[in-house]
Amino acid sequence: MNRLLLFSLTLFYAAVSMADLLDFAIPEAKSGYEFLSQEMRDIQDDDFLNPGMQAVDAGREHYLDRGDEDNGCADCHGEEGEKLAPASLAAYPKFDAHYNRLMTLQDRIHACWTDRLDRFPMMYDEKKLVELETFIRHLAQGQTIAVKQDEAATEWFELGKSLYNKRFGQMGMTCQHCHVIYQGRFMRGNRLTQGQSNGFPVYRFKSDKVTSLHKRFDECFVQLRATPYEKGSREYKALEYYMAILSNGLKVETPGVRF
Amino acid sequence: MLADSTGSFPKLKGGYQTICNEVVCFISFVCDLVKIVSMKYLSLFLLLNFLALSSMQTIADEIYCQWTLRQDDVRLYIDKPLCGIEGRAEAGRQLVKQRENTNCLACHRMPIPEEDFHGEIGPPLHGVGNRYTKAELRVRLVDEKLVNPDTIMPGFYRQPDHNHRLLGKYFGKTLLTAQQVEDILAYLVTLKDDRL
Repeated sequence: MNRLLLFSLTLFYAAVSMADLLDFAIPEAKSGYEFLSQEMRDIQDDDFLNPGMQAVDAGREHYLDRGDEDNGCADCHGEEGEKLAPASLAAYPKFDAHYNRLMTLQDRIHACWTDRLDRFPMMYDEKKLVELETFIRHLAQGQTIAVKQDEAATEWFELGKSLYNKRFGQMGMTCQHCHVIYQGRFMRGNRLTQGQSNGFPVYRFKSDKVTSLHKRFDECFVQLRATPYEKGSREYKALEYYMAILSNGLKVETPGVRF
Repeated sequence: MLADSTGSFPKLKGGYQTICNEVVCFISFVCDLVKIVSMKYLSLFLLLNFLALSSMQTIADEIYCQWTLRQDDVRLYIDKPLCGIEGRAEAGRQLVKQRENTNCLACHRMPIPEEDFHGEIGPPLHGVGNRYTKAELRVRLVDEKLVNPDTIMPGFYRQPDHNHRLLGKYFGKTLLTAQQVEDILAYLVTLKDDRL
């Protein structure tokens, strides 16, 4: 009898620990910029002070690089990228019918890099690729994010949403605990933000580096004492897509400055 | 306990090597090397395999004590101390301030004036000894999700197998040991003053 009780309790316990959270009402989107102190905002606003601009400059060099076959991004998109539509850049990640998958901005750049320019392939989140992404995303600075919730990408949206609401690791917290339910409150010395992705790739004071979104995901997972997914994996892209939809209506801030 | 928990291994590239500590990892690495050399000798190969596996199953440095959840009309409680350990309030007060595993102050305000930046996520713990008995507090510390399924609070003594995608070095471990949980409980019961 006792054993039966223990067994049923274990089952109940497992059910409780595996269940997803309820849908909490998503509040109005608020950029991480609004959680910063005035000094930090000044650093971000000034292009000469903003350390992230180094990555933009490095990205511009890769952009103008002619390579072995004497071709480059500037052939199609203009010397300063003026032929890239900022509104289109602010709509990534989007579903691509040709590749039949969700394309993040990095994916799109990489597809151009290998297919059109015929360059050597790069790893996802490689330094060079992140710098290129920073440069190109910077072109859309100030543009309103408008990611379309595509019907073809429903699968990705659902995956992203379930990951956002899933408990991970030894801490057993979800993304929405910190970034939706308790946003704006203090966790010890840190103010919890909404975790919006509109400033990414951001310059972070903590590591003194320009950090891509997937690297930031890794840090979050390790903080929860969970095993991170791989950078550029299906799960991270889905999460990026879901978070981009949450941040619709905000302005692109790349390169942002954060802690 | 660990032998039964194969179902919840995190799926990783490194296979079993990722779920062991440094020493065991080194042993199994050496075993792997010797295995490759001794492929000819099947019996030796099997013996080494057995050694590598059996050494991995002795990782857990502490045995997880089972507890029984009880319920009366309104309350959930665990009346027996974990592993039958007696807690010390003084040690509990030191633990509560700690930032590594416990970190109560990250979310709760507590009557500990010497520490700055108390969190404002959970309820303040002033006078928590008036509101709950020790047995009720034990449930909330072992796993708050039993009381409130949507909570942010980690389960400090929950069954380690129930974690989703646990990071390798925490495999088979609870956040706090049974002794630490009892120490903190002994401290929390002494908080009788409701004033903030």
